[in-house]
Amino acid sequence: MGAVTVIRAENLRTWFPVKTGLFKPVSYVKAVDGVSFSIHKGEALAVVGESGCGKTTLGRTTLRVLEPVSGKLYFYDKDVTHSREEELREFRRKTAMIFQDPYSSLNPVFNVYRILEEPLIVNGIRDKRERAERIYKALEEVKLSPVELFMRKYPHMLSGGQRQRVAIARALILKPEYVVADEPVSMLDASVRAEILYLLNDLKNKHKIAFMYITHDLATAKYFCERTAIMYAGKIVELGPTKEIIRNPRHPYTRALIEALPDPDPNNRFRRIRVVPGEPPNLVNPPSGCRFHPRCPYAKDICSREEPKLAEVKPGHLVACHLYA
Amino acid sequence: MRWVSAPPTGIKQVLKEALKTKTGMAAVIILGMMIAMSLSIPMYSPADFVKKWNDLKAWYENPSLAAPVWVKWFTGADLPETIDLKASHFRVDEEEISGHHITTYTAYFRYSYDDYPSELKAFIKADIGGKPVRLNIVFVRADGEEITLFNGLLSSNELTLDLSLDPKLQKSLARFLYEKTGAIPEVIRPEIVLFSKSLSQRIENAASDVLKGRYMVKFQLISDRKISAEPRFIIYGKVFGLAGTDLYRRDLWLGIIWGAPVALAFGTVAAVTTALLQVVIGAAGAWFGPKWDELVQRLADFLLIIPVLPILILISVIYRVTIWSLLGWVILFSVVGVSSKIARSITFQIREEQYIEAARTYGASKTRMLFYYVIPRIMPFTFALVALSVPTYIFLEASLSFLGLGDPELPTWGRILGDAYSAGALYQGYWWWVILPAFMIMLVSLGFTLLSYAFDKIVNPRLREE
Amino acid sequence: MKNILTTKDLVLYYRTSRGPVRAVDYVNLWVESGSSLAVVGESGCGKSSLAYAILRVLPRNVHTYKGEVLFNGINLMSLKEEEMRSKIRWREISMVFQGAMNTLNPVIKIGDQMVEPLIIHAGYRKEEALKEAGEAIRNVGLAEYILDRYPHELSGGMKQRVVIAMALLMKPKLVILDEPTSALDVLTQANIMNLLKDLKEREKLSYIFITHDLALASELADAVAVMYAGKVAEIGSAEQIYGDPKHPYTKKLIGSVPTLRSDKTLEFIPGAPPDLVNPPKGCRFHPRCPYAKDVCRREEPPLIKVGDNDYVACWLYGGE
Repeated sequence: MGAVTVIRAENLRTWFPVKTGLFKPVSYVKAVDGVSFSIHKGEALAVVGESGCGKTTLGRTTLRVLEPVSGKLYFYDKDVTHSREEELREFRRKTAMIFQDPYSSLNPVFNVYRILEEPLIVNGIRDKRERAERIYKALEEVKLSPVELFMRKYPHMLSGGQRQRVAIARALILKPEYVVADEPVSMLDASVRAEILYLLNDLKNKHKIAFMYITHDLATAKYFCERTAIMYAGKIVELGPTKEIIRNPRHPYTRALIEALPDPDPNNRFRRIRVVPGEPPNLVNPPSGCRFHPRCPYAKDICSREEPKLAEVKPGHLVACHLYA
Repeated sequence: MRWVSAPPTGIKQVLKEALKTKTGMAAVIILGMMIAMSLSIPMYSPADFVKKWNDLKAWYENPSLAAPVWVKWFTGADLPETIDLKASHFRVDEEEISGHHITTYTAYFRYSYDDYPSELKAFIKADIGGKPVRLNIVFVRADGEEITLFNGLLSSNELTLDLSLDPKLQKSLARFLYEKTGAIPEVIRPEIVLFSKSLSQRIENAASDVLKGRYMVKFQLISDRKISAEPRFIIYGKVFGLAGTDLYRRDLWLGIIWGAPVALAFGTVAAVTTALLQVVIGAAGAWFGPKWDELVQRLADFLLIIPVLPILILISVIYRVTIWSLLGWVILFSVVGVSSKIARSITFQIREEQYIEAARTYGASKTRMLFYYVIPRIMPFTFALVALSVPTYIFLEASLSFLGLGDPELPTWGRILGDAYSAGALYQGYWWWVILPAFMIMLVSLGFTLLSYAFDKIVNPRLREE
Repeated sequence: MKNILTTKDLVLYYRTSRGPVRAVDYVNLWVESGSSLAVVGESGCGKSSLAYAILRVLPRNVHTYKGEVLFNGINLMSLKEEEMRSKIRWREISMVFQGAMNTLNPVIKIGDQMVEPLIIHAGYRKEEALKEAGEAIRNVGLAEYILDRYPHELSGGMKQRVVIAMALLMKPKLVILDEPTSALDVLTQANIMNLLKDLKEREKLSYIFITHDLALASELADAVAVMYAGKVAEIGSAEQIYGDPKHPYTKKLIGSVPTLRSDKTLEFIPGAPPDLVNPPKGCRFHPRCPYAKDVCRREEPPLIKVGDNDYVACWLYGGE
């Protein structure tokens, strides 16, 4: 795991206009509101949060499927924040995405061979034999063998796990250097998940790919990601080594999250889970100061006035909370 | 694990599934017959059939306004078919009498039908070498009575005698009847007089019994030298072929068979082309953004207002229209329609699907995605509509041909109906001229409608029951 | 302790164009009074169909439906549809369906939706019904003003509480919950689980809790039935299933759940769950089982007792 930074985000903001009024939009959904992080070669960063916290938007922004409103996004040294589509050709070739729903992320009209061929054709690999070779290799790497058999199948003939492998093969066939995996196992059966997670881990180590792994299940992050970022209401509230965050969560939200995620333990039924009240906030008008303050059991005066900055509490472990300022 | 059964994605798959249903099977049978008809054309009809259809003189061998042969089974009477005595039927006898060369051609035929012929015609081709030759045509009835049909000069190399309308024959028949019965009827119809059983009843020209038996026709050429000739005598029947004949003696069965590929081709090409165009335009509008979508919607509104049939009539009145230019105009006016609405709504759904987003991440262009990912998804949903719209186009072409505004050369079903209408066929009782072409149009429409039902059941997800 | 519900050889097959789907295939299980049974399994194992089979909420394409469902001694299969409707459903046994919060009628106020069944089926007058509804709403931790709101004005968690309140309106003894928290956030999910625990204590309810999430099941389960391919693979106390699972499938399933608080290698099972139209002969799990013997390929194992209240359907534990 080298220290080469593949992806770097500085104060990234992605806002969606809410259409009201005839002329300019009056308000915005501030899905990603000031996020900074970096991912290194061969490293996986988990972005954990509940639905609506902005993690999916963040992932798509780093792939320039969405364009940020402000802030900066660097791919290696290149500033790709506002590059136009033509300038992004090489970026597109070196980045890829794996989606959550194995049932809609594959084109139902194409067979597996065709699905894997598309990225190659689009990126100018003209030689048919070279394409065939790469497709074969890709299918073998995700352990879909015999390759000849799977090549001809259509998505509806495959199980969820098999489809996800095809999606992974498709993402990796151009030898990307940065991959965003958006909840890649949450729609798979429990007995299949581990296989996919291990596969992703192997591929990450073998090809030294930088990953962003988006999930709401912190437990799976542990098996794949070296570092974890906890997101709440469009901001990163805690960032650090995954094991450290799980063992020593600092931010009250992180603590609430961990508390609320059960392990399979028959004693759970005798305990009540300590939960924070309320709901995640409206991203059009988030609360002032620290976004978590209305629900936080430790909220102080300053929390409603000032937004806490992400600051180190230990080397490599950052928290955005006034409790640690 | 979800066992999702996928909607069929290609026309072959859809057809295979269609064959499994009863409606699909029926549709395939009907349309298969049509296609078989179209393919059998080389067997039936001459090479330049279209020219022949428009050449009204080329059909002289057929009776005019003859009903189809199978009518016999329904009426019970053995209606006459045409007896064509060609040159090869005639026996040649040559004699020399006092310097005159007499060549006699004799032919016999059996007449056992229950009804009189419709017409009689005599033909002769001879090489007279410039000098007129005496010609005698004698008809001997089965009861032995001899009647001279023609006695005169053959002045050119060819002679056609329309015996049923020949005034001289009328006169000689009148004399004949007067001798035999002492009365002259008002109307003398040679084909009845020559074939009727009892001469006395001939006077009324009622449908008395036909004299069945062996008849003879004799052509006699008298000249000063040997003349080689080709006589021909046609006794026209009242029934002909599988579909009868029209006023111009054209074999309607050939016309109907020829109409099949025209109808099928026109209908399917129009339906498929318009569906394709509609899908592409509808999908493109929804795909490329609100401005394009607006444009397509306005175009749709515009085309909706235009009255297509009146404009087509106008065009074909002013310009000479061929089947191809007609096709072009029809497609032009149908370029936005129901299929484009379907394409539009499906495109909106597909836009949100994840594999489209995935394609963006590996750099696929919007245009490529439209043609390779979106449109193939839409096509199966249009199959049912396409099948249903084929009859519409067939009707359209038939209507225009019926009005005489279609292709002026091709024998299409609509044109046959148009000719029938102009000749007042239904009023006059020539029902086969009208009903059979109309039946074909309905049969084709039925076939495609059934096909469309079968497709709909397969492709429409709500009708697919597990 | 008495069993509030027992099923004996319960069968539910659906008719499809490919053949009968054996969704519930001779299922035997039981729920002790005042306790909750978690029915766990992966997608397509038949656990949702089990709920429908118990309540006799059947679709049109039923192929076979037979067996015994004993509720407090009464065999529900012997009741007529009218009796099921008027006496059992929603009164004695009620159900929270999967995704129920999305089926709330968007154009009718919450309160009106809740009182409808009371007025129509139970003959309540509107005031009485509203009083009951108000009590039920408070029971699930919501304020009474919720009755005046429309579904779209509520959050996911609140809607789910409303659905639970509706299920409890007629004070049933047994509640079947099918993935009650599947669309909810982690924190909201925790809240709902707390609520279900409270209600169980307060109202002395029995639960059948259907889920694919083994960790979540442990929040509520006194006993666990593990389903595979339409059959019960193992059924026993929560301690037994989580602590000392016997069936190879259960072992792997427990092993495949990621844990936050402990480190372990995640297990996975190669292959995929079988087709319920043509399941494997013999033990359904044998193609994927590392311990499969000859007999496993030939004969289906019966439920074999391995503890006080624990049973396994596996030839490894005798019964030959």
